[in-house]
Amino acid sequence: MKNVAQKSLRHVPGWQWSLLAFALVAQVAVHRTQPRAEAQAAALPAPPPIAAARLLALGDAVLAARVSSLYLQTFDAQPGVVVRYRDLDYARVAAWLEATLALDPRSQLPLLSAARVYADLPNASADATQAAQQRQMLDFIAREFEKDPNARWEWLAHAAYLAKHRLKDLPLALRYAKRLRERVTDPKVPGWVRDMEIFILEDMSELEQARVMLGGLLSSGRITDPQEIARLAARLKAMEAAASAAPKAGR
Amino acid sequence: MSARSTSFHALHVFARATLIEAWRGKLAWAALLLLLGSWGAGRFAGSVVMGEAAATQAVVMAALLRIGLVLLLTAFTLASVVREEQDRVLDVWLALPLPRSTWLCGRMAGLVALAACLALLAGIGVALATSVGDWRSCLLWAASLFLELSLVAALALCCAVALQRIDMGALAVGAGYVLARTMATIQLVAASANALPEPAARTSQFTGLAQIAIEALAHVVPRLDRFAPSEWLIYALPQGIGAALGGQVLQTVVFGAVLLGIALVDLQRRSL
Repeated sequence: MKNVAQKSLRHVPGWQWSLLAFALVAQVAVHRTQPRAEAQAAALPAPPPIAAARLLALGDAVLAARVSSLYLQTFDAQPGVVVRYRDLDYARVAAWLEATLALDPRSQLPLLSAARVYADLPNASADATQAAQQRQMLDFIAREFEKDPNARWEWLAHAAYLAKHRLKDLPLALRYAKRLRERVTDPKVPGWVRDMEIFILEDMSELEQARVMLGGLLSSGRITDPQEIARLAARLKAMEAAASAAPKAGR
Repeated sequence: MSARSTSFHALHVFARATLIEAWRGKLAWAALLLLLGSWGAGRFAGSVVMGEAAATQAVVMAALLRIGLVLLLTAFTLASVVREEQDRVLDVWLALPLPRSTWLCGRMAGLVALAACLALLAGIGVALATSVGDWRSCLLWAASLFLELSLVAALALCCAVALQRIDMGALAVGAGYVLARTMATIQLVAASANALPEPAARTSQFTGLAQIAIEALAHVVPRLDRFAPSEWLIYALPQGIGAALGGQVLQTVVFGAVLLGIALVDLQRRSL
């Protein structure tokens, strides 16, 4: 690029320097008269329609899904203020996650966010608000699981864990575990996923039902791993021992 | 030298001149800066997101590279052709005993070669900077990006010849590009009006006319949203990818011919 010859700064007339200095001072003065921006938490808006998101991303739905995920994830850190999860509208959060999944159904990110971030509230068993929020997220995971069980089993299994240990809602955990047993058909999915239901039944003291289910599972031939068969057989034996000990103790 | 070989030689000269102009205009530096910027933005997005970081980085980087290269190639094409016209250099070329199509095809060949270089740079950049996918995915994505850039270059060349102004040309290319990338979604939105429960909305004359106009427009606009899709980079390549890429090649050749045809008609009508 050709260099353009420039005169020294001394050639600029004094009045032009004065004008520049005055304009700069005036700018500072105008700025000082204006009110300071106040940090104010904004409510999470509804997600844009899927078609609008696609349009904004110039037809790239995968890009729209990533941007949507980033927006939702960073929403709690607004300029000058941090929004607590309990103050978020979880119906809106679920709507955003649902829209993101609709844009890119192969992404696991929305379900990961739902299971590991928005549903992972520490005081859900003691705090009614958090419990309601957690249930909304678990419902979302259960709904989305039904659309692709073999790809999304991991998140429903985590939801069952949260229902059992955080919400202390064993019937809900059992419902999720049952759906996992019924809907997951991929042989590559680990065995404990279909065994979850039995262990939750055991926790609910439904020993008879758990025993019947475990016996049925072992005799069905669906389990081929010798180690798993041995582990489950030992468990069945322990259950049977407990079942036969219970009437004696009662006597 | 026969007329045919003279034309071919001239075509080669015009193509080479386009590449030399791009090189001297620091286009390579601009492309490298764009690569660096999109890598940084992708890296930032990947570090912020709570999961699937590598995939997010790749998608953001690829999207920024795509739009950035489209803008870069459009600006270069418009500025180069309009300057040639305003400096009366084009008149000199057209006064030569050569078919006018030689200048147009030579220019287009140079721009296609430039698009290939830029797309290859983007493909290599994405492959090196992100850990998702493999070289084959990145190469196929770059091939698809090359076709998209070629179509954009043809559109910019056509607009520069027809409008002879950078501002109007940029507006026309921008509008055409956005329309081509969003046409499929616009069609879906228009079609969904039929599913509205309100009979008045369904049968309004304006809705009906708009639907007809959109359908007609869709027939003459290429579907660029199928080009250089991000999912090729982060998920397993879909079945029949060869056919998909073949379809894109066909679309590029056909629509490129339409655009060059329009530019040629305009060029033939021009008096010196």
